[in-house]
Amino acid sequence: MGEEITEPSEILRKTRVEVMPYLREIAEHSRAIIPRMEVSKRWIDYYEALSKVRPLTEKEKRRLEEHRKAYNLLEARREIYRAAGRYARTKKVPDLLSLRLAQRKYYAAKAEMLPPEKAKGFGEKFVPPKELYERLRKVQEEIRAKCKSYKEAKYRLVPITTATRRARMKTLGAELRDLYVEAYDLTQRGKSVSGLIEHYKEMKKMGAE
Amino acid sequence: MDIKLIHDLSPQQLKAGFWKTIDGFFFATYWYLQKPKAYDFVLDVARKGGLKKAFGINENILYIHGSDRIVETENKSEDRVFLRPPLISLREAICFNPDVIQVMDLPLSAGDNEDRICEKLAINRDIVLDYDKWLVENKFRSSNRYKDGLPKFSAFMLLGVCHGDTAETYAEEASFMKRYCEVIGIPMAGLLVQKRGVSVKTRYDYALHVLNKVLEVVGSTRVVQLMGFGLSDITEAPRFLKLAKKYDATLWFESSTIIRNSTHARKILSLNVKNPSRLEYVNISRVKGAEKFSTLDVFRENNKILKNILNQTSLELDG
Repeated sequence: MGEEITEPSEILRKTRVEVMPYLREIAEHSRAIIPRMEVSKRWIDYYEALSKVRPLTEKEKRRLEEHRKAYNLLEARREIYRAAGRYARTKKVPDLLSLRLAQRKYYAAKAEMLPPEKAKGFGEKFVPPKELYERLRKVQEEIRAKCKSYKEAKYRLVPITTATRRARMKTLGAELRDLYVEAYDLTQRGKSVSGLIEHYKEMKKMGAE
Repeated sequence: MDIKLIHDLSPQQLKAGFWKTIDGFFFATYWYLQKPKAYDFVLDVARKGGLKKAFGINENILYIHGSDRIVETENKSEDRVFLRPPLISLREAICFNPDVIQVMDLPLSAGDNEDRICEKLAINRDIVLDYDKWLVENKFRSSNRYKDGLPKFSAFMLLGVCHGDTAETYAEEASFMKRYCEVIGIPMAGLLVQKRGVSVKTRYDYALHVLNKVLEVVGSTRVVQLMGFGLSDITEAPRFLKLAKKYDATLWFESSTIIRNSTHARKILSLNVKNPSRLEYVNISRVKGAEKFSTLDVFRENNKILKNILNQTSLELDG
């Protein structure tokens, strides 16, 4: 059984010696992934060994976290290259799935590398505005209420007798249609439904599939 | 050939640990969209880095994020259709950080004439194009593509749903979808719904005909998801597996029957005592040793049994 090193300076010296050949390799091949992973792995081991000797300082904890994130990112990148190579050769579904999952992991690992203030924006950037949810809910409730009376009118068992009610029924359909249009157009940037159809017809005329 | 069972799970079921020991799950928007605090829920999940992280779900479990469907209202008329702008739905889906995003689609209905069907299919295609364009613009997909149309990098997979009035239409839609989507969805529930005068065999024959046409186009290059195909009739499963084997295809079944029988009815898939060649769902009180099973136990047991049946059937087909 080998004797465990307990001196922090000795662990540091050992780590620096182990990291040296990989640093030389990185200097020769700047885009190499595996030597970078090895370097990160050695530094993670160093901080973990150090934490057994004495509690880590704030700076050391931060450095350990950075190395962990970097290691995850590099691992994800290596997995992408592997999966992309396999998919390029086979063009089969399981390889496509593993490629896409590797890419998703890489994207998540990359997001974790961002500084905290940017990472916060990254997560919340795409959340649709709150007003939209509230407005949608309101429109939804209005449509429900109107649909109920619309159906009552459509499938009525007795004739509508009062003049006000008859007048109300005439305008209800138009109001309902407007509400649907509003619901669709809420914060919609781009084409309306009819616009989409026109666009598609034009594309067809031009010979698109 | 690869078969996966995808279960439709609610937030409560995810919290209760239903995701353990399954291949993947489908999370639909209706679980939170009609709740008063929908925005808070979405924001909370986005801050936590996605649904998997928020619920502590294993990274290896496949997560499909559904799109808006018909909203349940008090009456059952056509007015129930209520869809949000597709790109808003996409932005929201990204906050959930899923593996697969279902592209929003307009379903066909029985009363649609040919023009209306063409319009709906055109809209569906345009939504797919819009999704793809938005993802590229926001750097979730690369503009650099393989020869078959798929981007070389994509943070999310897309599930494009193919609708149609004939089997050939489904195939045509699939040939369009496969250029942008990694997963091709076929809505099977409508094909298998009970109709007066049409036998079960005829319905399944037609569903298989549609699947065959789609697989002719897609083959083993894309995943085919049978949407709303609950495997309610297990005796028909070998026919689907045989077809999948013919094309070396990857099929994902949405096994909604398991969830329904496990959580609502507490029934376990077991052999009929009087007729051992028949499998059916039986109440736990009638199954020895399962009397005290919780909903979760029933679900896990059913999932395991069904998975074993499918594996064994595919092995028999190999032999």
